[in-house]
Amino acid sequence: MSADPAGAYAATLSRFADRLFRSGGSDPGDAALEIPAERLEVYRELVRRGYTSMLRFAYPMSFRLIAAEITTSDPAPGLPSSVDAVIARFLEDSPAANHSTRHIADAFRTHFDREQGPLLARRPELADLMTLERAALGALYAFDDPGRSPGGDELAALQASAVPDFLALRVCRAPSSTTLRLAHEATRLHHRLAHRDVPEPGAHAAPERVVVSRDPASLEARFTTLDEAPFRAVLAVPPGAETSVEALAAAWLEDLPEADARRDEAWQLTTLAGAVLTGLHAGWFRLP
Amino acid sequence: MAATRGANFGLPALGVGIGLRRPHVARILAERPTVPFFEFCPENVMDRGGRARRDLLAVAGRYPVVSHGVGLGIGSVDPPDPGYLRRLRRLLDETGALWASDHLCWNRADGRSSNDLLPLPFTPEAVRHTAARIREVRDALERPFLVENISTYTVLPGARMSEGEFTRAVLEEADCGLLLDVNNVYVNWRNNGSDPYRFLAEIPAERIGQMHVAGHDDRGHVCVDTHGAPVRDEVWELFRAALELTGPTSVLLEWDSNIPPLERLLEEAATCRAIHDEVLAAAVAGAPDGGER
Repeated sequence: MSADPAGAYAATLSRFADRLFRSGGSDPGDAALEIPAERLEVYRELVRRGYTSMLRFAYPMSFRLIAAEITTSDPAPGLPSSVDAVIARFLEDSPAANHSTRHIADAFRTHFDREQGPLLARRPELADLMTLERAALGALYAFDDPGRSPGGDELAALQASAVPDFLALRVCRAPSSTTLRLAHEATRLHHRLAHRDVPEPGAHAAPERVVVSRDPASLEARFTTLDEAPFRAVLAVPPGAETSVEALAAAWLEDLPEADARRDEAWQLTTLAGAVLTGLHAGWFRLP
Repeated sequence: MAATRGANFGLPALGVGIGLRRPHVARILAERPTVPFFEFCPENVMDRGGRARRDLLAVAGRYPVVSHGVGLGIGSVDPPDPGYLRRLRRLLDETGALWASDHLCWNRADGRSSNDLLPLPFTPEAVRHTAARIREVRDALERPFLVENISTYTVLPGARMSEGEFTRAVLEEADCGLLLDVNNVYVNWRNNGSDPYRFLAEIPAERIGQMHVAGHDDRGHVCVDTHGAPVRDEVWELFRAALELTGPTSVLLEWDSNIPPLERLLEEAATCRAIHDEVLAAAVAGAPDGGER
């Protein structure tokens, strides 16, 4: 049993925390702590730096876009003055409750959507980019998926297999994978930013269907954009679930848009097989 | 002092190890450099899968490893998360970590996490609270547990003992070991004026199970513990004094930011090892029953 921490001890830590998360320089409240103002400022800087480092890790291209937008925009009401100011505002408003990168990333996203409206209005694609990067963070560190990913030779054999054999194949959906319907082409945006090419505001305002998964070989996150029909083949298997390709086909056909449902069987079979094989290669499907 | 030399809190003296950092993992696994042990940060992998976990398990299969956490915030008022301790325990079991450590600090209050190591007040109340928490953690982990003296930039008001007295009191009340961070002792001297040699004299040497050495950023008016530079000569001097207290031990060269190439890290570790061996050889030669006859 811990000693009862109530009293002076708890009050000391609370008082320190109250001042620690403030920004905007010293104020009379700092003096009540009875520690040198410049030393409190060192702690504030370290906390800000720690959070910045974790958030830049979680949202690398989003922060690149935020920084570019802040730097190039004319000063406007409601826009932060710097990335540092974005982080400081987050810390003042609602810092994370624990040190987990994913928890910090989620707490920041909630805060950002609520508090950085002017920035999001200038860059509406930022919201989708952050959603994409959060899914990538999840893929990178998710629990190890059940089953296994086939090697190149096995994939080639599957591709060449007879239809009945392929339909009998069992696959499972990797829990590390995420399906996203986005209002912007966030993967293209991500790619351009990674090459330090900052698009004009409003660029890539076309919808995108993305599967974010963990690459079986490198274990890095990867993005695959899909048309509606193969995307629905992924959606037909919930993360963690196992099924046969035949059962997957039945569920998929049931849910196909009318235009695709009217297409011939060869197209349907090829589309489904393509989605399964791509998924096995990209890591969103695995063999049990 | 001679009676406590080599006690090492009952832990093996492994020599000079380095921190396991992602940029180095591929080469470590491919080239198998001679490193007596690696220290890993459990928060990067403890409840996750993927590459970081795969890499750690691969290294742990080839080298001795120890765990050094940054997330417990053991002096915080909020109790430790039982889920955190459960996941940490599982990771320690999976990796065969020889011991676990974290910091003598707090990191959260009123639902806010600082994501940083914050200074404890040097008061009897803090000793009782923190020691009780350490006992809880140690019991949950069921393996040797060490706490590290942290770098600080101020002493919280109301202190009723020195940092060394505080550290000793916590270690003895919790019955745990000390991870002596020599760089932090130096940094605290510069920042707070606390005499580093008095600190070394006040802590129970027999409870030192591991040491850290690292570089810091000297800004003139304040020294910031960055782990991002070579170890400074003044810290090596203090390291020598600490080794006089402990005898052979396990030392970890920390270099966590501005991470250099593996060769540079191993070069710095070799410097550390040379000092370690030189001090200990001199101690043996100077002992009544040691040295050449």
